Amino acid sequence: MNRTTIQKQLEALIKKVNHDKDGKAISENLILFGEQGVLDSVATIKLIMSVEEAFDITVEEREISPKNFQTIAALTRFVESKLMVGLIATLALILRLADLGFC
Amino acid sequence: MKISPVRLCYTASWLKPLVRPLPATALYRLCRMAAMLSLRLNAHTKRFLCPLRTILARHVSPDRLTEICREYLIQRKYLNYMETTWRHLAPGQRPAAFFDGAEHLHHALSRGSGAVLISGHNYGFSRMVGPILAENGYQVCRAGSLSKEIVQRRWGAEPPWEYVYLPKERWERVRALRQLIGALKQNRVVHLMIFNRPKGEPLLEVEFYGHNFFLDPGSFELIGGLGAPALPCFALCDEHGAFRIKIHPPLGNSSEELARGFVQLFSQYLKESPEYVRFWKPLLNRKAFW
Repeated sequence: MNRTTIQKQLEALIKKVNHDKDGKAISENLILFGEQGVLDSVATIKLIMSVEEAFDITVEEREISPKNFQTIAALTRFVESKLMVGLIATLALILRLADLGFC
Repeated sequence: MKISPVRLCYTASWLKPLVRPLPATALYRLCRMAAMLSLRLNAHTKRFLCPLRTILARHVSPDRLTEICREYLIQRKYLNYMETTWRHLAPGQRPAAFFDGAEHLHHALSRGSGAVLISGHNYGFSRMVGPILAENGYQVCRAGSLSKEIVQRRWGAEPPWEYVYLPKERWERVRALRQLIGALKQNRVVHLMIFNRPKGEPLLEVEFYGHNFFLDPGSFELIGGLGAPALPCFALCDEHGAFRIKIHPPLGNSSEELARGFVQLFSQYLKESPEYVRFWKPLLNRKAFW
């Protein structure tokens, strides 16, 4: 899954949790949550839960921070890194199973 | 530094074995006695009751006003005693608790997505709802604005119910909300209290003897966003010190419906039982919130 696909999916999720309020055009630097954010705390939680479901990842509590959720660009990078970590973990498991003779 | 004799009795290692077996009804009788003496003899108590008298004097008869003053002092003292002694009271000595409307809570929990109980802040024995429910076998998560240190000082290092601190800082608040949603997914009961404010929208206006106030809008948005059934809950007590927990049917789904329903109920309780109010002074002085 490339970065553009991830970003498009995230934009769709953001529109869904925000019920298309404000009518602001979604750009990768749009502030999602914070001083001038388009989402309130409840909508942010819903976004986090939607992201977890859509990408089959788990967001740890310490990962809920401006670094990962302030803008769409930051969120895209975060999801990409989580997917990469997941892929590496899966490959590592397959190699281990191969070593043990299971596949 | 003010030292409470009751706190001293229940925390001093050499006094505790003597007082622990005392039933909660004895504490309640102590409250009644202390309140009646205080009302008659203590000049400070008379000054303390000025805000209450100022608000109610024009609306109730003198006899009723005296009754409300007395009951207010009793309930206030009893709540303080209960917060101090609850975890120290011997098993079987805690006050009885009767539930009115528990079937609404059971029905909400039967769906498997938890339930949210909402109470008025600084009204009645709302602070005791968490401990009482936990005592009666419910899995409770209480959300509020007290720091961990204050909660531990009041309820001990490991209270039998979870406390989620809702901070003002945005990102910490999001993490806290996630904990609440997690608690609801585990089919637990989340208990929230609604703050009061001097100004607000007409939808959130609560009638109160000519000193109307408003409820915090953010709380209803939060409750609406949690997605679980929201049931109003009010904790009062009877003339023997037993708690009466009244749980009402769930309110609507949207934050407007929640607000409308809760305002109506809360106004009714305030009108019928003003002695349970503990925000006379901040209300009169129109503080930022209470």
